[in-house]
Amino acid sequence: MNARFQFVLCFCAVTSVLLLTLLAGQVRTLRVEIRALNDQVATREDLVAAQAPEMRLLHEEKCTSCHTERRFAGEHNTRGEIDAAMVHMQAMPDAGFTDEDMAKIHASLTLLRCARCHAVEKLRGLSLRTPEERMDLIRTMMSKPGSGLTSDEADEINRAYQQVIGF
Amino acid sequence: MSEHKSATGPGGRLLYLIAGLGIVIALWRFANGIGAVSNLNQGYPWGFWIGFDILAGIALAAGGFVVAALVHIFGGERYHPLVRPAIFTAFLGYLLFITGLLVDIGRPWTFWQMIIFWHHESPMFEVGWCVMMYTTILFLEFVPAVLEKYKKTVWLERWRTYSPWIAWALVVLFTIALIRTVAWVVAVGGVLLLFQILVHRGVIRRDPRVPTLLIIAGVLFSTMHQSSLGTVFTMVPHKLHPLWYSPILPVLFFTSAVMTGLAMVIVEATLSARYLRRPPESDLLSGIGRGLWWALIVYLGLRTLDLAVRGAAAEAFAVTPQSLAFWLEILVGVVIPLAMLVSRDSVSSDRGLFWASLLVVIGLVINRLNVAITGIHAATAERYVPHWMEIAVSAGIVSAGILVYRAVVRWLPVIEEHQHADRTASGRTGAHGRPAGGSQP
Repeated sequence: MNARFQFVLCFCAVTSVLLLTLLAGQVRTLRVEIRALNDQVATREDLVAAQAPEMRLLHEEKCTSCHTERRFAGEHNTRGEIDAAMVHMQAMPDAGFTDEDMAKIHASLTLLRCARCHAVEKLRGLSLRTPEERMDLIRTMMSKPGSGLTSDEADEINRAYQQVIGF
Repeated sequence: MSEHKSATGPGGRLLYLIAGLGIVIALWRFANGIGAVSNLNQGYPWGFWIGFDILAGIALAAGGFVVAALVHIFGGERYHPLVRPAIFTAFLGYLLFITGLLVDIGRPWTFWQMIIFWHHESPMFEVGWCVMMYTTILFLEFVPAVLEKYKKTVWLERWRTYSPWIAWALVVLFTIALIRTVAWVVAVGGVLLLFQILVHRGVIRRDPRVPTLLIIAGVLFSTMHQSSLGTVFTMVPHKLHPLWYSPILPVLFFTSAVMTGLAMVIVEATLSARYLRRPPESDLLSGIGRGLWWALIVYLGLRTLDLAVRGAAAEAFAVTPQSLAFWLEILVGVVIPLAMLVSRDSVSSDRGLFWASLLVVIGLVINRLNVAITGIHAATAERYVPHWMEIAVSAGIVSAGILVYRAVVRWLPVIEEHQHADRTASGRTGAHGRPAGGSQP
């Protein structure tokens, strides 16, 4: 066997072994990934993440550039205080809020009643329910001790949700 | 000396020119800062100098400890003529690497701080100490060449007596600095002390040419140093491409250094034989070539299995600059030399052996540049292409190294045949004064 033939033979053999090992590695990785797949193809949370529209809380864009987040949390966001604050801010000469902005900011501040206890992602998941189902849920919340929600506020929250989510 | 190629021939003049240009640019860098001569930026603070001068340069200097261990520890006596050239190449390589590091880091007047302030958390601390210690050991291993040249018999005897103790002290100091555990210091110091006492008492055979403890210290520091350069890059798993990042990067750096050390011995022996116009040590080099073949097999096996087990194999088949660089490195540096060395004819042919070894060396340089540059993802949008002045500085360092090598080989008894000639001449005059069997350290 001459040297040139040995070179070609060895080159091909080594390259084949190298490629085969790398390919075996890829197959192994694929098997591990397949084994790691969930039995349930998608959970409810996965569907919500994939399907539910983004929740855009406009007060975070329009208000927090001048006021801190803490200003919007707490008891003072209830029972007409939001309306009073909105009227006050709209009267400000430099605020420049349109009526559409005002409606969305109002809705967004109203939903803070829920966001005090529930994460935004949880609220986002409600978009997969019908307005009636959401209302039932808000009523369930009303009955919880310490919620402090009235039936008027429950209606307002439901409307605010539809306003924010864009239905 | 007339039979040597002239140092001032066209090749020699070109080397002087490149070295001179490198020195001028290095001085320019110290005067105007690193930004004046390099394209390094916040995304790529390490570039061509680290990849070429340091990562590749250190690996290319591995021949010193590999051949020294082969001869003085594993009993490969017949390779003895290759020891001193390999040690000299390693010593020179480390000095050049330190020069490159000084140009890269700058502010050389602060280097002493590493000796006083110990930062145990930093792999760079270990790298720095290993360089310091191993360069000292290489100096001790090489100093007999100077003593023999000037027939300093008394100093040579003192070197034989004291150098193992200096090596012992360095290893113990290193253990204290790096580990700071009494148990480890006592264990390491105790074992080496016991070894030296047994050698002194004649229980363990005393090597008349070089104290074995000196070789052991050299192997220890070099092994740790070669691998710890890989350890440095295990700190950046988010930044280094999966084709090169690996938890076993220190092992891969060490094995590739051993492999390249063997290849460098062949390249350096062939080129110096050509320069000195004498036949190369073909029978010895073919033995080294067979060792190189096995080293290539081990490295390729480790590298391939590592990629396969880590699940990074898919990256090798993606069409990206990184995958192209990976295949270039593997094919040039490992697969082609492996195929070349499989034939008995190639291993016993000086030419085949030289080209296969040169490819291994080139492959190693590509590998280290891939780790330092190609495989690095910068978090910022910045990109890095080496500035011509960065390349000129490195080329200047290499040229200066070749010029120094040529000068020293003509001046000192580095190459075996040169020593024989020297010995014959001094034997005639009866003034050489070298002890029997002590032709080399």
